Amino acid sequence: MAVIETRDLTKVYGAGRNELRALDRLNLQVQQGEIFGYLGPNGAGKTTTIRLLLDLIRPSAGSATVLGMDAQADSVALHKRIGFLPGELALWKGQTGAQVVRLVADLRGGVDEAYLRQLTERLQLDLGIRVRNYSSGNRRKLGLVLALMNKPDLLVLDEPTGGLDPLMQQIFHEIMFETRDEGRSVFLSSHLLPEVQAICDRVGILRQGRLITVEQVSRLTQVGFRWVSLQLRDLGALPGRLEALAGVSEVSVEDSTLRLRLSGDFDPLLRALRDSYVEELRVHEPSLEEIFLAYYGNGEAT
Amino acid sequence: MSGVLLRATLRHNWRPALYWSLGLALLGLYVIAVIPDQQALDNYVNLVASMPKPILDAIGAGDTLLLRTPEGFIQYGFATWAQLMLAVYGLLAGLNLCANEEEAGILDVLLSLPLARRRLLLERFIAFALLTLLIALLSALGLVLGSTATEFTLAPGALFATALNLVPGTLLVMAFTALAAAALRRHMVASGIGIFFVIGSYFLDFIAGAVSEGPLNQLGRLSFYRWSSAGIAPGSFLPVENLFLLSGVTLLLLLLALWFFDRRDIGL
Repeated sequence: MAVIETRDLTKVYGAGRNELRALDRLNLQVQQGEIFGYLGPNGAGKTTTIRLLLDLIRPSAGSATVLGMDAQADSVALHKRIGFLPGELALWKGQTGAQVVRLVADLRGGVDEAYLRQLTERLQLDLGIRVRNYSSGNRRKLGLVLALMNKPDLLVLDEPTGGLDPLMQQIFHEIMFETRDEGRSVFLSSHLLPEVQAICDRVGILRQGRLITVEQVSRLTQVGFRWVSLQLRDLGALPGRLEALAGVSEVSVEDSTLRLRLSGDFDPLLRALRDSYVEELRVHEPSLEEIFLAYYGNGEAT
Repeated sequence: MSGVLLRATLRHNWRPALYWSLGLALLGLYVIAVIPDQQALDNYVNLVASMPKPILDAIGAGDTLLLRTPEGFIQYGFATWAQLMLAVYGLLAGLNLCANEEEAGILDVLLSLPLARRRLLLERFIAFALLTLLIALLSALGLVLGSTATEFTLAPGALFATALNLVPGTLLVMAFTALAAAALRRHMVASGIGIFFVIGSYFLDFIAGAVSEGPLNQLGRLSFYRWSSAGIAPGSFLPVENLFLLSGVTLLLLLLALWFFDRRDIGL
Protein backbone atom coordinates (compact mmCIF):
# COMPACT_ATOMS: atom_id res chain seq x y z
CA MET A 1 0.00 0.00 0.00
CA ALA A 2 1.32 3.47 -0.90
CA VAL A 3 1.47 5.87 2.03
CA ILE A 4 2.39 8.75 -0.28
CA GLU A 5 1.18 9.00 -3.82
CA THR A 6 1.50 12.10 -5.96
CA ARG A 7 0.03 12.61 -9.40
CA ASP A 8 1.63 15.28 -11.59
CA LEU A 9 2.18 17.37 -8.48
CA THR A 10 3.41 20.78 -9.60
CA LYS A 11 4.28 23.97 -7.81
CA VAL A 12 5.02 27.17 -9.66
CA TYR A 13 5.96 30.42 -7.96
CA GLY A 14 5.58 33.78 -9.65
CA ALA A 15 4.46 34.36 -13.20
CA GLY A 16 5.83 35.42 -16.56
CA ARG A 17 9.53 36.15 -16.51
CA ASN A 18 9.64 35.63 -12.75
CA GLU A 19 8.09 32.19 -12.95
CA LEU A 20 9.90 29.55 -10.95
CA ARG A 21 8.88 25.93 -11.41
CA ALA A 22 9.85 24.58 -7.99
CA LEU A 23 8.29 21.18 -8.61
CA ASP A 24 7.37 19.81 -11.99
CA ARG A 25 4.82 17.02 -12.46
CA LEU A 26 6.00 14.84 -9.62
CA ASN A 27 4.75 11.26 -9.74
CA LEU A 28 5.96 9.41 -6.70
CA GLN A 29 4.92 6.46 -4.59
CA VAL A 30 6.24 5.68 -1.14
CA GLN A 31 5.25 2.29 0.25
CA GLN A 32 4.17 1.42 3.75
CA GLY A 33 6.98 0.22 5.99
CA GLU A 34 9.85 1.69 4.00
CA ILE A 35 12.35 4.41 4.67
CA PHE A 36 12.31 6.50 1.56
CA GLY A 37 15.11 8.95 0.93
CA TYR A 38 14.39 12.04 -1.05
CA LEU A 39 17.69 13.17 -2.36
CA GLY A 40 18.68 16.27 -4.21
CA PRO A 41 20.88 19.33 -4.02
CA ASN A 42 19.66 22.49 -2.30
CA GLY A 43 16.89 24.11 -4.29
CA ALA A 44 15.93 20.89 -6.06
CA GLY A 45 12.36 20.97 -4.71
CA LYS A 46 12.61 18.62 -1.72
CA THR A 47 11.20 21.06 0.81
CA THR A 48 8.56 22.19 -1.66
CA THR A 49 7.37 18.59 -1.96
CA ILE A 50 7.21 18.21 1.81
CA ARG A 51 5.30 21.48 2.23
CA LEU A 52 2.82 20.34 -0.41
CA LEU A 53 2.34 16.98 1.33
CA LEU A 54 1.67 18.80 4.61
CA ASP A 55 -0.71 21.30 2.99
CA LEU A 56 1.46 24.24 4.04
CA ILE A 57 1.46 25.33 0.41
CA ARG A 58 -1.03 24.55 -2.32
CA PRO A 59 -0.22 22.86 -5.62
CA SER A 60 -0.37 24.74 -8.91
CA ALA A 61 -1.46 21.47 -10.53
CA GLY A 62 -1.78 17.81 -9.67
CA SER A 63 -2.64 16.20 -6.37
CA ALA A 64 -1.22 14.22 -3.50
CA THR A 65 -2.65 11.42 -1.40
CA VAL A 66 -1.08 10.66 1.96
CA LEU A 67 -2.09 7.62 4.03
CA GLY A 68 -5.02 7.23 1.68
CA MET A 69 -6.31 10.75 2.31
CA ASP A 70 -6.22 13.87 0.20
CA ALA A 71 -3.31 15.98 1.41
CA GLN A 72 -5.32 19.19 1.15
CA ALA A 73 -8.95 18.33 1.86
CA ASP A 74 -8.21 15.94 4.76
CA SER A 75 -5.20 17.75 6.16
CA VAL A 76 -6.36 17.97 9.78
CA ALA A 77 -7.25 14.27 10.01
CA LEU A 78 -4.05 13.45 8.19
CA HIS A 79 -1.83 15.48 10.50
CA LYS A 80 -2.95 13.35 13.44
CA ARG A 81 -1.03 10.48 11.82
CA ILE A 82 2.03 12.39 10.62
CA GLY A 83 5.13 13.48 12.48
CA PHE A 84 7.06 16.31 10.87
CA LEU A 85 10.51 17.74 11.39
CA PRO A 86 11.20 20.84 9.27
CA GLY A 87 14.62 21.56 7.86
CA GLU A 88 14.94 24.75 9.84
CA LEU A 89 13.10 24.19 13.07
CA ALA A 90 11.73 27.38 14.59
CA LEU A 91 9.99 27.30 17.97
CA TRP A 92 8.92 29.72 20.67
CA LYS A 93 12.27 30.85 22.03
CA GLY A 94 11.03 31.95 25.44
CA GLN A 95 9.48 28.59 26.26
CA THR A 96 11.14 25.56 27.73
CA GLY A 97 11.36 22.31 25.83
CA ALA A 98 8.80 20.84 28.23
CA GLN A 99 6.32 23.65 27.53
CA VAL A 100 6.70 23.17 23.77
CA VAL A 101 6.26 19.42 24.10
CA ARG A 102 3.18 19.92 26.28
CA LEU A 103 1.56 22.30 23.78
CA VAL A 104 2.20 19.95 20.86
CA ALA A 105 0.96 16.98 22.90
CA ASP A 106 -2.23 18.88 23.83
CA LEU A 107 -2.82 19.87 20.21
CA ARG A 108 -2.42 16.21 19.28
CA GLY A 109 -4.97 15.26 21.92
CA GLY A 110 -2.53 13.56 24.27
CA VAL A 111 0.60 11.50 24.07
CA ASP A 112 2.07 8.29 25.48
CA GLU A 113 4.01 9.74 28.41
CA ALA A 114 6.16 6.63 28.88
CA TYR A 115 7.23 6.68 25.23
CA LEU A 116 7.91 10.41 25.45
CA ARG A 117 10.15 9.85 28.47
CA GLN A 118 11.92 7.02 26.70
CA LEU A 119 12.54 9.23 23.65
CA THR A 120 14.00 12.11 25.63
CA GLU A 121 16.23 9.71 27.55
CA ARG A 122 17.50 8.04 24.40
CA LEU A 123 18.21 11.36 22.75
CA GLN A 124 19.66 12.70 26.02
CA LEU A 125 17.52 15.82 25.82
CA ASP A 126 16.93 18.08 28.81
CA LEU A 127 13.44 19.52 28.44
CA GLY A 128 13.89 22.02 31.25
CA ILE A 129 15.90 24.43 29.10
CA ARG A 130 14.46 27.38 27.21
CA VAL A 131 14.46 26.93 23.44
CA ARG A 132 16.67 29.99 22.96
CA ASN A 133 19.35 28.34 25.10
CA TYR A 134 19.42 25.05 23.22
CA SER A 135 22.40 24.33 20.99
CA SER A 136 21.54 23.62 17.36
CA GLY A 137 21.99 19.90 18.02
CA ASN A 138 19.67 19.93 21.04
CA ARG A 139 17.11 21.96 19.13
CA ARG A 140 17.24 19.26 16.45
CA LYS A 141 16.69 16.62 19.13
CA LEU A 142 13.68 18.54 20.42
CA GLY A 143 12.34 18.61 16.87
CA LEU A 144 12.80 14.85 16.62
CA VAL A 145 10.96 14.33 19.91
CA LEU A 146 8.06 16.47 18.64
CA ALA A 147 7.94 14.53 15.38
CA LEU A 148 8.22 11.08 16.97
CA MET A 149 6.29 11.38 20.21
CA ASN A 150 2.88 10.38 18.87
CA LYS A 151 4.25 7.31 17.09
CA PRO A 152 3.03 8.55 13.71
CA ASP A 153 2.18 6.23 10.82
CA LEU A 154 4.29 8.45 8.60
CA LEU A 155 7.35 10.45 9.55
CA VAL A 156 8.25 13.34 7.28
CA LEU A 157 11.75 14.55 8.04
CA ASP A 158 13.49 17.37 6.25
CA GLU A 159 17.28 17.12 6.64
CA PRO A 160 16.89 15.43 10.02
CA THR A 161 20.44 14.95 11.23
CA GLY A 162 21.91 18.39 10.63
CA GLY A 163 23.65 19.44 13.85
CA LEU A 164 23.49 16.00 15.47
CA ASP A 165 26.76 14.52 16.68
CA PRO A 166 27.77 11.06 15.30
CA LEU A 167 26.53 9.24 18.40
CA MET A 168 23.12 10.89 18.14
CA GLN A 169 23.03 10.19 14.41
CA GLN A 170 23.50 6.53 15.27
CA ILE A 171 20.63 6.64 17.74
CA PHE A 172 18.52 8.43 15.16
CA HIS A 173 19.27 5.65 12.66
CA GLU A 174 18.24 3.04 15.25
CA ILE A 175 14.95 4.84 15.84
CA MET A 176 14.32 4.96 12.10
CA PHE A 177 14.93 1.22 11.79
CA GLU A 178 12.57 0.55 14.71
CA THR A 179 9.95 2.73 13.05
CA ARG A 180 10.24 0.70 9.86
CA ASP A 181 10.17 -2.60 11.78
CA GLU A 182 6.86 -1.53 13.32
CA GLY A 183 5.42 -1.15 9.81
CA ARG A 184 5.46 2.61 9.91
CA SER A 185 6.97 4.68 7.10
CA VAL A 186 9.57 7.40 6.83
CA PHE A 187 9.94 10.03 4.14
CA LEU A 188 13.31 11.63 4.63
CA SER A 189 14.78 14.41 2.56
CA SER A 190 18.49 15.01 2.46
CA HIS A 191 21.29 16.34 0.36
CA LEU A 192 23.75 14.03 2.11
CA LEU A 193 24.35 10.81 0.25
CA PRO A 194 25.95 8.91 3.18
CA GLU A 195 22.95 9.63 5.38
CA VAL A 196 20.56 8.28 2.79
CA GLN A 197 22.80 5.30 2.11
CA ALA A 198 22.92 4.47 5.80
CA ILE A 199 19.22 4.11 6.46
CA CYS A 200 17.04 4.29 3.36
CA ASP A 201 15.53 1.42 1.43
CA ARG A 202 14.76 3.37 -1.70
CA VAL A 203 15.78 6.77 -2.92
CA GLY A 204 14.12 9.30 -5.16
CA ILE A 205 16.51 11.71 -6.82
CA LEU A 206 15.24 15.16 -7.51
CA ARG A 207 16.90 17.76 -9.64
CA GLN A 208 15.64 21.18 -10.60
CA GLY A 209 12.11 20.27 -9.56
CA ARG A 210 11.99 17.03 -11.49
CA LEU A 211 12.14 13.50 -10.18
CA ILE A 212 14.97 11.94 -12.12
CA THR A 213 14.69 8.44 -10.80
CA VAL A 214 13.64 6.21 -7.96
CA GLU A 215 16.21 3.57 -7.11
CA GLN A 216 17.06 1.00 -4.50
CA VAL A 217 19.85 2.47 -2.38
CA SER A 218 22.15 -0.38 -3.33
CA ARG A 219 21.77 0.62 -7.01
CA LEU A 220 22.67 4.18 -6.27
CA THR A 221 26.16 3.29 -5.15
CA GLN A 222 26.63 1.18 -8.24
CA VAL A 223 27.28 4.35 -10.11
CA GLY A 224 30.66 2.64 -10.07
CA PHE A 225 33.37 5.20 -9.56
CA ARG A 226 35.17 7.12 -6.87
CA TRP A 227 37.92 9.69 -6.78
CA VAL A 228 41.37 8.58 -5.68
CA SER A 229 44.09 10.98 -4.54
CA LEU A 230 47.66 9.73 -4.28
CA GLN A 231 50.59 11.48 -2.70
CA LEU A 232 53.70 9.91 -4.26
CA ARG A 233 57.38 10.40 -3.53
CA ASP A 234 58.22 10.28 -7.22
CA LEU A 235 55.64 10.62 -9.95
CA GLY A 236 57.88 9.79 -12.91
CA ALA A 237 55.95 8.39 -15.84
CA LEU A 238 53.22 7.02 -13.59
CA PRO A 239 50.43 9.37 -14.69
CA GLY A 240 50.73 8.25 -18.29
CA ARG A 241 50.84 4.59 -17.26
CA LEU A 242 47.80 4.94 -15.03
CA GLU A 243 45.77 6.58 -17.77
CA ALA A 244 46.21 3.47 -19.84
CA LEU A 245 44.74 1.32 -17.07
CA ALA A 246 41.23 -0.02 -17.49
CA GLY A 247 38.81 1.84 -15.23
CA VAL A 248 41.08 4.82 -14.70
CA SER A 249 40.27 8.18 -16.22
CA GLU A 250 40.58 11.92 -15.65
CA VAL A 251 44.12 11.67 -14.32
CA SER A 252 45.50 15.01 -13.17
CA VAL A 253 48.57 16.10 -11.26
CA GLU A 254 48.80 19.05 -8.93
CA ASP A 255 52.09 19.56 -7.08
CA SER A 256 52.98 16.02 -6.07
CA THR A 257 49.39 14.87 -5.76
CA LEU A 258 47.92 12.67 -8.42
CA ARG A 259 44.14 12.57 -8.74
CA LEU A 260 42.18 10.10 -10.79
CA ARG A 261 38.74 8.71 -11.31
CA LEU A 262 38.51 4.99 -10.71
CA SER A 263 35.71 2.75 -11.96
CA GLY A 264 35.50 -0.86 -10.90
CA ASP A 265 37.95 -2.70 -8.64
CA PHE A 266 41.03 -1.29 -6.92
CA ASP A 267 43.26 -4.19 -7.81
CA PRO A 268 44.58 -2.97 -11.22
CA LEU A 269 45.46 0.38 -9.70
CA LEU A 270 47.23 -1.14 -6.68
CA ARG A 271 49.24 -3.45 -8.93
CA ALA A 272 50.26 -0.47 -11.09
CA LEU A 273 51.49 1.31 -7.95
CA ARG A 274 53.62 -1.56 -6.64
CA ASP A 275 56.93 0.08 -7.66
CA SER A 276 55.98 3.53 -6.36
CA TYR A 277 56.37 4.85 -2.82
CA VAL A 278 52.88 5.91 -1.79
CA GLU A 279 52.95 8.49 1.01
CA GLU A 280 49.24 8.94 1.18
CA LEU A 281 46.17 7.45 -0.48
CA ARG A 282 42.70 8.94 -0.16
CA VAL A 283 39.41 7.75 -1.61
CA HIS A 284 36.49 10.14 -2.03
CA GLU A 285 32.94 9.08 -2.74
CA PRO A 286 31.46 10.97 -5.68
CA SER A 287 29.37 13.96 -4.79
CA LEU A 288 25.67 13.93 -5.34
CA GLU A 289 26.08 16.15 -8.36
CA GLU A 290 28.66 13.76 -9.80
CA ILE A 291 26.29 10.85 -9.30
CA PHE A 292 23.63 12.81 -11.16
CA LEU A 293 26.08 13.45 -13.98
CA ALA A 294 27.25 9.86 -14.01
CA TYR A 295 23.69 8.63 -14.29
CA TYR A 296 22.19 11.28 -16.46
CA GLY A 297 24.93 13.49 -17.84
CA ASN A 298 24.52 12.15 -21.35
CA GLY A 299 21.05 10.82 -20.84
CA GLU A 300 22.34 7.36 -19.95
CA ALA A 301 23.87 5.69 -16.96
CA THR A 302 27.54 4.86 -16.96
CA MET B 1 -8.25 19.54 20.92
CA SER B 2 -10.58 22.48 21.03
CA GLY B 3 -9.46 25.45 23.09
CA VAL B 4 -5.84 24.33 23.48
CA LEU B 5 -4.46 27.22 21.49
CA LEU B 6 -6.81 29.66 23.19
CA ARG B 7 -5.56 28.62 26.62
CA ALA B 8 -1.94 28.65 25.43
CA THR B 9 -2.36 32.15 24.00
CA LEU B 10 -3.87 33.38 27.26
CA ARG B 11 -1.07 31.73 29.23
CA HIS B 12 1.67 33.32 27.15
CA ASN B 13 0.14 36.77 26.82
CA TRP B 14 -1.47 37.58 30.15
CA ARG B 15 1.69 39.20 31.44
CA PRO B 16 2.05 41.76 28.60
CA ALA B 17 -1.68 42.41 28.94
CA LEU B 18 -1.12 43.21 32.60
CA TYR B 19 1.55 45.74 31.67
CA TRP B 20 -0.83 47.39 29.21
CA SER B 21 -3.50 47.44 31.92
CA LEU B 22 -1.08 49.03 34.33
CA GLY B 23 -0.15 51.71 31.78
CA LEU B 24 -3.76 52.56 31.07
CA ALA B 25 -4.71 52.47 34.74
CA LEU B 26 -1.89 54.94 35.45
CA LEU B 27 -3.18 57.15 32.64
CA GLY B 28 -6.62 57.00 34.26
CA LEU B 29 -5.19 57.82 37.68
CA TYR B 30 -3.26 60.74 36.23
CA VAL B 31 -6.26 62.17 34.35
CA ILE B 32 -8.37 62.11 37.49
CA ALA B 33 -5.57 63.40 39.68
CA VAL B 34 -5.40 66.52 37.49
CA ILE B 35 -8.93 67.49 38.54
CA PRO B 36 -9.24 66.95 42.29
CA ASP B 37 -12.17 69.40 42.50
CA GLN B 38 -14.50 71.55 40.41
CA GLN B 39 -12.23 74.58 40.78
CA ALA B 40 -9.30 72.72 39.25
CA LEU B 41 -11.51 71.39 36.47
CA ASP B 42 -12.82 74.90 35.66
CA ASN B 43 -9.30 76.30 35.60
CA TYR B 44 -8.20 73.58 33.25
CA VAL B 45 -11.17 74.04 30.92
CA ASN B 46 -10.69 77.84 30.89
CA LEU B 47 -7.12 77.29 29.79
CA VAL B 48 -8.11 74.82 27.09
CA ALA B 49 -11.00 77.00 25.91
CA SER B 50 -8.58 79.75 24.90
CA MET B 51 -7.51 77.61 21.94
CA PRO B 52 -9.11 78.19 18.51
CA LYS B 53 -12.44 76.41 18.09
CA PRO B 54 -11.35 74.16 15.16
CA ILE B 55 -8.48 72.81 17.22
CA LEU B 56 -10.78 72.25 20.20
CA ASP B 57 -13.16 70.36 17.92
CA ALA B 58 -10.32 68.35 16.43
CA ILE B 59 -9.06 67.16 19.81
CA GLY B 60 -12.57 66.40 20.99
CA ALA B 61 -12.81 69.30 23.44
CA GLY B 62 -15.26 71.44 21.47
CA ASP B 63 -18.06 71.14 23.98
CA THR B 64 -16.57 73.06 26.91
CA LEU B 65 -19.77 72.77 28.90
CA LEU B 66 -19.48 69.01 28.77
CA LEU B 67 -15.80 69.28 29.55
CA ARG B 68 -16.64 71.00 32.84
CA THR B 69 -18.23 67.80 34.09
CA PRO B 70 -15.84 65.17 35.50
CA GLU B 71 -17.37 62.48 33.24
CA GLY B 72 -16.89 64.73 30.19
CA PHE B 73 -13.32 65.47 31.17
CA ILE B 74 -12.52 61.77 31.63
CA GLN B 75 -14.07 61.06 28.25
CA TYR B 76 -11.77 63.67 26.72
CA GLY B 77 -8.64 63.15 28.81
CA PHE B 78 -8.69 59.39 29.18
CA ALA B 79 -10.84 57.71 26.55
CA THR B 80 -9.38 59.58 23.56
CA TRP B 81 -5.79 58.68 24.40
CA ALA B 82 -6.57 55.26 25.78
CA GLN B 83 -8.31 54.38 22.51
CA LEU B 84 -5.20 55.37 20.58
CA MET B 85 -3.00 53.31 22.90
CA LEU B 86 -5.29 50.32 22.75
CA ALA B 87 -5.36 50.59 18.97
CA VAL B 88 -1.62 49.94 19.11
CA TYR B 89 -2.32 46.92 21.32
CA GLY B 90 -4.90 45.75 18.77
CA LEU B 91 -2.34 46.12 16.01
CA LEU B 92 0.27 44.10 17.90
CA ALA B 93 -2.30 41.47 18.82
CA GLY B 94 -3.43 41.28 15.19
CA LEU B 95 0.14 40.54 14.15
CA ASN B 96 0.33 37.91 16.90
CA LEU B 97 -2.57 35.95 15.42
CA CYS B 98 -0.40 34.49 12.66
CA ALA B 99 2.06 36.98 11.14
CA ASN B 100 4.76 36.85 13.82
CA GLU B 101 4.89 33.05 13.89
CA GLU B 102 4.81 32.86 10.12
CA GLU B 103 7.75 35.27 9.91
CA ALA B 104 9.66 33.17 12.44
CA GLY B 105 8.81 29.88 10.71
CA ILE B 106 6.93 28.51 13.74
CA LEU B 107 3.70 28.27 11.78
CA ASP B 108 5.19 25.38 9.80
CA VAL B 109 5.34 23.34 13.00
CA LEU B 110 1.92 24.44 14.26
CA LEU B 111 0.10 23.76 11.00
CA SER B 112 1.72 20.35 10.61
CA LEU B 113 -0.28 19.39 13.70
CA PRO B 114 -3.96 18.49 13.63
CA LEU B 115 -4.99 22.13 13.69
CA ALA B 116 -7.14 23.80 11.06
CA ARG B 117 -5.95 27.20 9.93
CA ARG B 118 -9.35 28.73 10.73
CA ARG B 119 -9.21 27.35 14.24
CA LEU B 120 -5.77 28.81 14.78
CA LEU B 121 -6.93 32.30 13.83
CA LEU B 122 -10.23 32.07 15.68
CA GLU B 123 -8.85 30.75 18.96
CA ARG B 124 -6.10 33.34 18.91
CA PHE B 125 -8.58 36.12 18.15
CA ILE B 126 -10.87 35.07 20.98
CA ALA B 127 -7.91 34.88 23.37
CA PHE B 128 -6.73 38.39 22.49
CA ALA B 129 -10.31 39.69 22.66
CA LEU B 130 -10.50 38.35 26.22
CA LEU B 131 -7.16 39.96 27.05
CA THR B 132 -8.40 43.27 25.61
CA LEU B 133 -11.43 43.00 27.86
CA LEU B 134 -9.14 42.32 30.81
CA ILE B 135 -7.07 45.41 29.97
CA ALA B 136 -10.21 47.56 29.76
CA LEU B 137 -11.54 46.25 33.07
CA LEU B 138 -8.24 46.74 34.90
CA SER B 139 -7.80 50.24 33.48
CA ALA B 140 -11.32 51.01 34.72
CA LEU B 141 -10.10 50.00 38.15
CA GLY B 142 -7.45 52.72 37.80
CA LEU B 143 -10.19 55.24 37.11
CA VAL B 144 -12.25 54.01 40.07
CA LEU B 145 -9.21 54.14 42.33
CA GLY B 146 -8.35 57.65 41.12
CA SER B 147 -11.90 58.86 41.65
CA THR B 148 -11.66 58.12 45.38
CA ALA B 149 -9.00 60.83 45.61
CA THR B 150 -11.29 63.54 44.22
CA GLU B 151 -14.23 65.39 45.70
CA PHE B 152 -16.45 64.22 42.83
CA THR B 153 -18.92 61.44 43.21
CA LEU B 154 -18.29 59.30 40.16
CA ALA B 155 -20.41 56.20 39.63
CA PRO B 156 -18.11 53.17 39.14
CA GLY B 157 -20.50 51.95 36.44
CA ALA B 158 -19.86 55.10 34.42
CA LEU B 159 -16.11 54.67 34.73
CA PHE B 160 -16.31 51.03 33.68
CA ALA B 161 -18.48 52.06 30.72
CA THR B 162 -15.80 54.56 29.63
CA ALA B 163 -13.15 51.86 29.70
CA LEU B 164 -15.26 49.10 28.15
CA ASN B 165 -16.20 51.38 25.25
CA LEU B 166 -12.58 51.05 24.13
CA VAL B 167 -12.92 47.35 23.41
CA PRO B 168 -14.91 47.30 20.12
CA GLY B 169 -12.53 49.73 18.36
CA THR B 170 -9.53 47.72 19.54
CA LEU B 171 -11.02 44.49 18.23
CA LEU B 172 -11.65 46.18 14.90
CA VAL B 173 -7.99 47.17 14.62
CA MET B 174 -7.00 43.62 15.57
CA ALA B 175 -9.24 42.13 12.89
CA PHE B 176 -8.00 44.63 10.30
CA THR B 177 -4.35 43.78 11.02
CA ALA B 178 -5.16 40.08 11.00
CA LEU B 179 -6.74 40.52 7.58
CA ALA B 180 -3.68 42.34 6.28
CA ALA B 181 -1.44 39.56 7.62
CA ALA B 182 -3.71 36.80 6.35
CA ALA B 183 -4.04 38.26 2.88
CA LEU B 184 -0.56 39.62 2.27
CA ARG B 185 1.72 37.17 4.08
CA ARG B 186 4.64 39.59 4.38
CA HIS B 187 5.00 40.63 8.01
CA MET B 188 6.48 44.03 7.22
CA VAL B 189 3.73 44.87 4.75
CA ALA B 190 1.01 43.78 7.16
CA SER B 191 2.59 45.84 9.96
CA GLY B 192 2.84 48.88 7.69
CA ILE B 193 -0.78 48.63 6.62
CA GLY B 194 -1.90 48.18 10.21
CA ILE B 195 0.06 51.25 11.32
CA PHE B 196 -1.31 53.24 8.40
CA PHE B 197 -4.82 52.20 9.38
CA VAL B 198 -4.42 53.26 13.02
CA ILE B 199 -2.72 56.57 12.28
CA GLY B 200 -4.82 57.27 9.20
CA SER B 201 -8.03 56.70 11.15
CA TYR B 202 -6.83 58.99 13.89
CA PHE B 203 -6.02 61.80 11.47
CA LEU B 204 -9.27 61.34 9.58
CA ASP B 205 -11.14 61.75 12.84
CA PHE B 206 -8.92 64.68 13.83
CA ILE B 207 -9.44 66.53 10.53
CA ALA B 208 -13.15 65.72 10.40
CA GLY B 209 -13.49 67.06 13.95
CA ALA B 210 -11.97 70.37 12.94
CA VAL B 211 -14.75 71.10 10.42
CA SER B 212 -18.35 71.00 11.46
CA GLU B 213 -19.77 69.99 8.06
CA GLY B 214 -18.89 69.22 4.43
CA PRO B 215 -17.04 66.33 2.76
CA LEU B 216 -14.09 66.48 5.15
CA ASN B 217 -16.42 66.03 8.08
CA GLN B 218 -18.10 63.14 6.29
CA LEU B 219 -14.69 61.52 5.71
CA GLY B 220 -14.44 61.16 9.46
CA ARG B 221 -17.15 58.51 9.24
CA LEU B 222 -14.50 56.21 7.75
CA SER B 223 -12.51 56.38 10.98
CA PHE B 224 -13.23 53.82 13.67
CA TYR B 225 -12.39 56.48 16.29
CA ARG B 226 -15.52 58.34 15.24
CA TRP B 227 -17.69 55.34 15.98
CA SER B 228 -16.00 54.49 19.23
CA SER B 229 -16.48 58.00 20.60
CA ALA B 230 -19.14 59.90 18.62
CA GLY B 231 -22.54 60.37 20.19
CA ILE B 232 -21.52 58.89 23.51
CA ALA B 233 -22.86 60.63 26.57
CA PRO B 234 -19.92 60.71 29.00
CA GLY B 235 -20.04 57.80 31.39
CA SER B 236 -22.48 55.77 29.33
CA PHE B 237 -22.03 52.75 27.13
CA LEU B 238 -21.62 53.00 23.37
CA PRO B 239 -24.88 53.55 21.52
CA VAL B 240 -26.21 50.26 20.18
CA GLU B 241 -25.86 51.40 16.55
CA ASN B 242 -22.16 52.22 17.08
CA LEU B 243 -21.63 48.89 18.79
CA PHE B 244 -23.34 47.02 15.96
CA LEU B 245 -21.38 48.89 13.32
CA LEU B 246 -17.99 48.32 14.96
CA SER B 247 -18.77 44.69 15.75
CA GLY B 248 -20.19 44.08 12.27
CA VAL B 249 -17.11 45.48 10.54
CA THR B 250 -14.87 43.50 12.91
CA LEU B 251 -16.73 40.31 12.10
CA LEU B 252 -16.53 41.00 8.38
CA LEU B 253 -12.79 41.69 8.55
CA LEU B 254 -12.26 38.54 10.59
CA LEU B 255 -14.24 36.42 8.13
CA LEU B 256 -12.20 37.84 5.27
CA ALA B 257 -9.00 37.09 7.20
CA LEU B 258 -10.14 33.49 7.71
CA TRP B 259 -11.01 33.17 4.03
CA PHE B 260 -7.63 34.45 2.84
CA PHE B 261 -5.62 32.53 5.44
CA ASP B 262 -7.36 29.30 4.51
CA ARG B 263 -6.45 29.63 0.86
CA ARG B 264 -2.93 30.88 0.62
CA ASP B 265 0.52 29.36 0.94
CA ILE B 266 2.15 29.51 4.35
CA GLY B 267 5.61 30.90 4.90
CA LEU B 268 8.41 31.38 2.37
